[in-house]
Amino acid sequence: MFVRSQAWLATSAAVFGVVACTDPNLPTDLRPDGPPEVLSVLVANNTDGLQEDATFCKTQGPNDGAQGAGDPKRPSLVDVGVDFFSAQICPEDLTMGVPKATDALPGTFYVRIMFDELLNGDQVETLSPVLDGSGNPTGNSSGSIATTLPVKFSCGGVPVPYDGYYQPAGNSFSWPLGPSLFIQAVDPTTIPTGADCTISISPTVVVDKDGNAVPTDQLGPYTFSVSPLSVSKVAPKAGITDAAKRSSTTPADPIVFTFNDNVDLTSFTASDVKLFKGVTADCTGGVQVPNALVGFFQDAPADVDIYDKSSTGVNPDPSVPTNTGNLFQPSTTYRLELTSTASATDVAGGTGAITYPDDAKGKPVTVLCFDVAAM
Amino acid sequence: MNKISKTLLSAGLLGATLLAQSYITETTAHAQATVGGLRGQIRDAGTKEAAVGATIVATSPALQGEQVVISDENGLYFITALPAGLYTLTVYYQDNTFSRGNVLINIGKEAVVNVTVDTTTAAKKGETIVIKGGAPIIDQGSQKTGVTITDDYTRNIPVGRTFGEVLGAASGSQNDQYGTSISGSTSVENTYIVNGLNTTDTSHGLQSSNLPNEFVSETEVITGGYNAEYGRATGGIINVVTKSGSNEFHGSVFGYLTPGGLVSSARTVERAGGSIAIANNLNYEYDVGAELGGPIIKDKLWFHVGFNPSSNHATTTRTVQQQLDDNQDGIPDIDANSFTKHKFVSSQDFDHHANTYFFTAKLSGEINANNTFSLSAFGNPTNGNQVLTGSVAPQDEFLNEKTGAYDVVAKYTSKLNEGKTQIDAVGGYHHGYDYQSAPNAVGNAPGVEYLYSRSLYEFQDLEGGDAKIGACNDARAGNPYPKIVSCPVEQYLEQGLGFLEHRDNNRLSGSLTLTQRVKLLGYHVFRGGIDIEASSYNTDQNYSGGGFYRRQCNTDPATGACVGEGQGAPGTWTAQGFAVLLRNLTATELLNPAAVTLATGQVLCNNKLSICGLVDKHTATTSDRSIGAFLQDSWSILPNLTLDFGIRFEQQVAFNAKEFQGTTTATGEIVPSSAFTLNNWAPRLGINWDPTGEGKSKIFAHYGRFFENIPMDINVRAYGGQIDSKVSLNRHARLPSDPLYDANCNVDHGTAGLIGTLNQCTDQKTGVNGSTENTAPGLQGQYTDEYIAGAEYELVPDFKLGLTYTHRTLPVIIEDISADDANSYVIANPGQNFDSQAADLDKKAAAELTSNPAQSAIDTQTANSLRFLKKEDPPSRNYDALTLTATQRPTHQSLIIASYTYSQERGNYPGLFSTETGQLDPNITSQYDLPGLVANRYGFLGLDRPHNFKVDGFYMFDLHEAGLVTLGGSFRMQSGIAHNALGINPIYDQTPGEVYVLPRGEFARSPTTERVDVHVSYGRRVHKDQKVEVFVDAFNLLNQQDELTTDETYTFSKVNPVVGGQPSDLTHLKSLTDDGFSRNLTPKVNPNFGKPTSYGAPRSFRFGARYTF
Repeated sequence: MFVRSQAWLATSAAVFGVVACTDPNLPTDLRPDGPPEVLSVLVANNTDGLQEDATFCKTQGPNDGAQGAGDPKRPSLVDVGVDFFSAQICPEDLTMGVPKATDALPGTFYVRIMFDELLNGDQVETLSPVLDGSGNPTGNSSGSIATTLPVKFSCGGVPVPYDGYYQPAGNSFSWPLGPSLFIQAVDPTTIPTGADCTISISPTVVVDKDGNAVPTDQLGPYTFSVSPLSVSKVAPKAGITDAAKRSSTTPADPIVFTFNDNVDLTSFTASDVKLFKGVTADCTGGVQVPNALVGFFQDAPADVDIYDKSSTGVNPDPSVPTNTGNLFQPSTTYRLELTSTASATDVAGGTGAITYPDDAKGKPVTVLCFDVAAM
Repeated sequence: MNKISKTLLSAGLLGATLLAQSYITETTAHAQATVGGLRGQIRDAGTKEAAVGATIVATSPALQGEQVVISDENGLYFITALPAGLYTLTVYYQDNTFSRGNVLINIGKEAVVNVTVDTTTAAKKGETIVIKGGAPIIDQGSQKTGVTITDDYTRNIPVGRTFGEVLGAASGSQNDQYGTSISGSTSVENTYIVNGLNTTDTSHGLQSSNLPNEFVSETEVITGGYNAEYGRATGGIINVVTKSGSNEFHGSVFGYLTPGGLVSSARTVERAGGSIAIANNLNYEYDVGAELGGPIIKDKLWFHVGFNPSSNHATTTRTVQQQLDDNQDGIPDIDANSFTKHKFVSSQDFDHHANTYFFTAKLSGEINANNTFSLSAFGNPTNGNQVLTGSVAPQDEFLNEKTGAYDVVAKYTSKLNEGKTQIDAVGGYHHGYDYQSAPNAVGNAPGVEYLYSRSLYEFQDLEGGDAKIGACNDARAGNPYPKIVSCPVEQYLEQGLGFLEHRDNNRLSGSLTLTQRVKLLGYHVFRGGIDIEASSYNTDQNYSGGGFYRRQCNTDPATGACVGEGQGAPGTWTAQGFAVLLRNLTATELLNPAAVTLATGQVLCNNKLSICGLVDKHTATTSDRSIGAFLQDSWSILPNLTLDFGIRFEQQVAFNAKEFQGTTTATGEIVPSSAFTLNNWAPRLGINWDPTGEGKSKIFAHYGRFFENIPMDINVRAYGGQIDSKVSLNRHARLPSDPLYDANCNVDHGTAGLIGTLNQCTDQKTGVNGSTENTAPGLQGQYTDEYIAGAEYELVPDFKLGLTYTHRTLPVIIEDISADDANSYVIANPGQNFDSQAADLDKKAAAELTSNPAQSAIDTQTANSLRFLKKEDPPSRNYDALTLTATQRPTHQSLIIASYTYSQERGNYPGLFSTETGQLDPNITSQYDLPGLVANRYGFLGLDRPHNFKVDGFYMFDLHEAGLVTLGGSFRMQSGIAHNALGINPIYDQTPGEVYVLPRGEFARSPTTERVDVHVSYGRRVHKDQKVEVFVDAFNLLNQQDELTTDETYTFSKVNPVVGGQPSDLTHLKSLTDDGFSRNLTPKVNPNFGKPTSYGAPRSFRFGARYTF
């Protein structure tokens, strides 16, 4: 009996050892073996309420060969934060990529390169303590990649000075996606709207914790475009021709065109618009205000403000904040039409057509009609 | 033949068709869970043959009358349904009488006693030949593992006062937050059976009924290998039988006292920061009681009664202390261990108590030799108050609570067919309750909590003013530490107590079991039965004063710093409460929900399909129905080789709350009565081989699948129509300079009529979520698979060694998951493929797209969630244990129970509660709620303790005239647990610890803990069967207050997990904004991370006296 018991013990111990040492490869795990691979490259945009959309999704698995079944570690349907639901970052079909992103948010966009494993953080990022107003350490630090330069970043063929940080947290199931490099131009306003941009990874800087570099075929360049210059908002609201549905403005309110980037005021001229005053309630008729009497000024870098210089009691120079006066004729209905060639230029030189934003149902809007209240 | 057929018909046993009638030669009964069994072979030493036709009579003080059987043609005999106790076997064979005493029968066990009678040297006619020796102590009736606790153990080993406190004697068991964990499972996976009645708490799986050890005959702790007769547990089975009377009056009077003055000083839990320290000190704890059993009618009707009130009085000392800054560097000074240095400011004592009134009453009767019954009632009603810990205003410290349970059980056993067939019927009712209440009007007001660091002095009006906490006034003249906040508090609760609950749990149970033995290629013992449980869980939940208000400071999104305090920026508020669905919007209203006029306290809900009204409480009346049936065959191929086959069916039907049934959902569907139905089939397979053939050894193996009976917390929280409301107030934190500023929104502690003013705030938004959760079609039951192999050998009489290997897995679990960031949830099996069910839902959604677009949208979302399930990490909990045991049979003179277990438990799912956050919401914990929460959860689980060593024992020295001296002791040593680094999820931002920043168990284990308890007793026999005894128990004799728990919160910032990371990766971790988006800011590390949060209890002494008769 004892002999058998001992043999049984040995068998049990062997089984025990095998069972106890086997850890599964879970869907939420990263892939620490092998070189760091780029699963996705995302660009901050403004199209669908998301902050980021993919401009690249990896379509080849680590061992799949050229005709592989795709990389299961890449993100697909991902929860994207407190106020949003799920978003499809990469297609469910792992062999399908995504088209190049063409809607990077002008002026503020950033790029996130998502990897399949943790990087050597000390090599890609430097950390600096954050100080409070008195100069004392807050206990927090911020990261920088301005000196480590893990990527080459250019837009319109011009190198872009950038900074950013390394975020080791995350996977394909959590938002923001990670581990990732967060890259943002030091001064995004210097990048023209509509510019084509590229980002390439530096194989000597971006290495994993074992010192492996990103495979050569995954270094990039990864491409995307900045959204063209466009009008994101007009106040008063355009496209309402029914007088009953319009709310009136005060004589001191200008028409405000808000662009998606800082705009060059001089690029928006009277030749781009036709301003009519004394139009009927249904927005027809009226008398065109001479171009010379259509005034332009800016109270914010992305805004162009328009006013009627022929108004009674007109503000002599509304660009001076302390000045007061009317910007439109009291008790008058106006109509503003945009010419078919209307265009503007951002401060970095990118141009775009000036159009009214589409209405809530996605239909084009061609006219702005508004009622100026009495004084 | 006819007789047997009649037996089968009368039993109605479905499995009877399995029996080949022509081979049936005999029937007999088998052991029951509340009794034990005995079998063996009678041999004739003279003929060296089996003694056929011998009459075996079993008698015991524990047995009414006697049990008589005849040995069969192989000399075999079987006696079942024996109450636990010491027995004498009398064998009548060929005009000779033989007697063998000292046969110990334990509940749930089957002893083998072979008796060799020598008729050649028989004594004179009429003389009884006494055969020496006892019964082997190895259970030959099953492959169960575990330990049986008798009153020899509880009288002489220093343990707690109730059966619930002796479960730790089982090998491999350990304490967890809610009880005793067995075989790697969480404690709430255990089932507690008392006198055959399931007394487990219906709502959360907790132990509900409890009794002092003096009222208990035996406690069987089954840690694994249980056969098909047991179910509804994925942990262990706690099988308790209370004492019965006998033909003589026996009982005891006893008393215990633990004086607080002899409790050693508790090791202080040092915390960095904070200015309120809490210390609990026992004043005294005592209990007195008596129990008496005896005959009402000799051999016919016995009684046993007992009453044991106990009382615990303690004082919680709340100390205010200030930080120091002697070097004037603006940073609070720390000591050599990195703990903040403090100086005493003031203290306040709060006395609190708890009284429990244990009782038991039992009638045991014999109608005739074949029909017996028992009726029992017992309970443990408790009332008292408790002190809330943490930074709570002194006026809010107390919470009143009444809790406990009452049980009644009836059992009937009938032996038919000349005692060869046995039917057991058990019925009973369990009632548990827990009523919380505030002791005064202040506690009944709405709770107000401040969730950010501020000076305690801001609450000086509640803290006793300058007389008490003047040293906390940073603006005081001569403040020696002007550069620091003297008395910071990270959070502070004033006014009402917050969440309070009244709940009761009830279970009406009934079971019927039949046992039949058949001879066919050996012996088969067929056993079958059915049972039914109708359970309820009723709750009234409310926030004191109707709501709970929390104030947070404004955080700078760039730096994460709190910028509100002291800078004129008002804090933001949230008010938590409940809501109910008032009505659904009309078709016209659905076209433009925003235009619907809402009355005060109303809000659009259910994705703007309905109107909900804010209410101050949530009531749910819920029920469950569980049906079980089993069939098993114990096939003794040879007398020493038995195969066990069993199959168990369990059905659980969970019902929606009665308040919710039949109502119309937001999408126009009628809420059905049932929420889900689980049909579970649980196979069992085992083998026993006794190489010695004498019952002195056992080599065994067992496989079993054990299904969980889903606790009913899910009925209330997921199927109870619970809608939570959260009103965000002063959301924009506007400054007085802002044109939209509303002074009603800018309130703080000290604002007159704070709640009333805040409710007038115009900058508010109400959100509601909840109501019924969807259930995945095809939902499977949660189960554990268990494999056990082992051997036991009785090395010397009454002493056995055992070696057991256990492997347990948890392949399928039930949890709620959300694939849309907590917007909707579905109860499902994470990691399983539900694609076909999703496809069916897609078809349904398409079909109703026009007729019911809202329901179509819900179905589509549910289908998306179901499709997501297969992408989830599959659940795992792999427990492997090798256990060595040494057990001496309990006698009145000595006992040893020792075990060493080496185990490993890895996985991503600890069980029915989260071992890290303590969240006890079985099957609806947050563990799988959000995809972002799942990563890094695989590793050493929270109950993984590789080494677990236990020795319990005592020895009684009989000094004859000088009395009896008993020395007992208990030694425990176990490994610490591996620790985690936890953070906060942006969505679940009210609960620290939901994010595993690094892989589970990445940080070092707590130190190994050890504890020595000692029992010394002196007794004297004052008369025949009467004894007086005084004793003292020293708990934690060496006063080793080892570290028990550790602060695992790495940061209170919102972060994502660093998947597969190591501590070095944390340097570069960045926190997230409140909305869960990127920012370039590392999180602030919790200064208490990795530091102990509790230590073992200090040394204490308990004195007692006992008079037994």
